Amino acid sequence: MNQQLESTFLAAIEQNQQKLLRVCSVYAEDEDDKKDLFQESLIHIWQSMPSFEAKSSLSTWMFRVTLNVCLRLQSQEKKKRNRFLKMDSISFTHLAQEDIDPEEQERLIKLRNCIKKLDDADKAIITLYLEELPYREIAVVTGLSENHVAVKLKRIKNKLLNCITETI
Amino acid sequence: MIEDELVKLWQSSPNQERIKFDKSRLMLDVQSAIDKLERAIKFRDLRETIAVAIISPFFIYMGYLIPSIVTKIACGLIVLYGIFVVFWLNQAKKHKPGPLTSTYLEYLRKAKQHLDAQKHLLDTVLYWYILPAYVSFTLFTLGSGTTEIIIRMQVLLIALCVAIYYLNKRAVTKTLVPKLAKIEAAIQIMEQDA
Repeated sequence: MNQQLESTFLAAIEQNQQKLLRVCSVYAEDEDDKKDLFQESLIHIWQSMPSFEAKSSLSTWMFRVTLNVCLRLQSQEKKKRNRFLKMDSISFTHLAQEDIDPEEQERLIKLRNCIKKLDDADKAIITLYLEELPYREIAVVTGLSENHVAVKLKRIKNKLLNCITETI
Repeated sequence: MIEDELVKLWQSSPNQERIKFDKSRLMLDVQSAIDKLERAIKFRDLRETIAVAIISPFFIYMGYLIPSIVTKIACGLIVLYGIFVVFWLNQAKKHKPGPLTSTYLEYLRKAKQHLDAQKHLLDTVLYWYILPAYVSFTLFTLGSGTTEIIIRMQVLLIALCVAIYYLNKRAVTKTLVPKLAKIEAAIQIMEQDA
């Protein structure tokens, strides 16, 4: 059973790592903070795995745990949260600068900055939208109704597009 | 910029950063982090109990050793006070932030309840922590010390009580109130447009 849970966890992490890392990046203060949030999320996802009831897909459920971990840790002092994080089995590598299209990089930075300017709750909803989760799944993660998600997304998207246009 | 472009752009970030897992070691790392976390929580929960378990025998012995009735009463009060503080803190610890598997909105509401309880605990620290300690230790010195010792102990006790009171008030205004405001704002935003 544990072996099965372990392989499900590893497969799910492999499949969703980039998505979860992007969610963490929205709540992180800097690169190190992002890695801390990501690693802490992995720990809590594994810890909560036995309570996963398959009411939603595993990846949707992982988004839910990650968002809550980001919310919890965001309000904690950094020195308090780093005590448990020494996971040498995970390494982060950046691509060489010449491999990145500078124009795209600039637009991405603008988008990230505009998302960071949003309130925590709006950040959560827009991030899930940008990860292409259907409204139903966003509702499952956030605890809102589908209609409510649709109304909120319309408003948040306008806010985001305005911010991006202003900064261009 | 149209919405599809936003999504595409957002999802392009992994092309700039890669995560590598050493699968065989990842589970060991995760388990070791969980073990450390659980040990720390256990220690945090037992910290006050351990302190009271160490201090109580000392004051019971002092109560037995020092003939003054006032000191004997004070020693009894100090032991009772220790037990009461442990009980009170354990009651407060029951208000935990919600499970991380809750929905975002549920988690926000639970986090608010948790912070409200913490704020209440620190706001009332004068009544359940400082005053009982002050009275018990004052009685202890009254029964067992000379006038000079009593005055010195009073100065020390009052300074300590003021410091504890100030630190708790500071924690409320500097840490808890801003956290609560942030959580309340997030709940409000989530609930608007409903």
